[in-house]
Amino acid sequence: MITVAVDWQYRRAMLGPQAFAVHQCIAQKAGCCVTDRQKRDHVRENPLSNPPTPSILVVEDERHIARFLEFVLHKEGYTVESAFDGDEAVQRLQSHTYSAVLLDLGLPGRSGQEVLRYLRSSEERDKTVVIVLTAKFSGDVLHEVLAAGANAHCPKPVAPSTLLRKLKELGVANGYCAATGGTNPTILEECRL
Amino acid sequence: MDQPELAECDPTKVLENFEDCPEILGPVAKLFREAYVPDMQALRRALENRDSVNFAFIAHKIKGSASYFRADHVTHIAGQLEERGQRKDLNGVHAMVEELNRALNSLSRALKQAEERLEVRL
Repeated sequence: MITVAVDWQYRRAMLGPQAFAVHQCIAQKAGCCVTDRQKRDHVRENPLSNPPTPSILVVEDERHIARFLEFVLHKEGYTVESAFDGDEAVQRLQSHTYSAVLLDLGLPGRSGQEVLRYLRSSEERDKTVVIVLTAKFSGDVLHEVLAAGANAHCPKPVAPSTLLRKLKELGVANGYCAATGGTNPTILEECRL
Repeated sequence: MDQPELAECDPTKVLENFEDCPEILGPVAKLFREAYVPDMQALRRALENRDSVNFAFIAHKIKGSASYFRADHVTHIAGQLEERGQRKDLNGVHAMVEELNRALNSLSRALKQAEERLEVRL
């Protein structure tokens, strides 16, 4: 049995009680841990079988876009937080190390470029994967953000499949049970064991 | 003065980016509707104040925001307004700002229709 790296409260809120009950039942039949207690027991008994879930910070001032990206990433099993301006992003980065940051450039307060410079100013945060998201992509902007240390870019509107593929290519792999709606084939095998 | 008729946004197109996750359209559309009215007010205020930097910033914001719903007409007009702001040339853009407002209202209606279609499907 494998621990499901899914925020069940979030799923319950998104799906509503009836659809969630069906969803949870399918996951149980597939051999996944579905309650917090089962998860805790499983982690205690199998400390090495539960890789940490990659955490992603979405930095985007448009709340509906942030919400959309949060949903897409949650669905794939990532842990997601959002910051709605550059200053909030820096505050979050000061207190937490993320696997990846999805960074809009046109932000209120500190710009996306400033947040990127802040990220790359420390050795610890330097390992964080940065994907820049923006609607304005001239060659100059692209050159500037890549030179400043961004790992990749996604022009807006971001297609979920493209974003997830880029994250995987950059080594920010998710790890959760495919039986609950994910797509990671490795984890699906583990679920079936 | 009569406004020229505007082609309505297509609810089917609006749904394109949400095919893999239709359940999120409702919450996302709600947030978009809450944001675009104050955004338009801010755009008009920037125009009144001849603040071309802020004008370009808000037009850019609206462009990126509507692009998630494949609202080509909105993104096109917002892109033109952004460019005018960047060139610091805000003369005669009032009509375009009002056209953008009508296009956003049309998008809002299309989102409602798309949500209703999804309710039937889900």
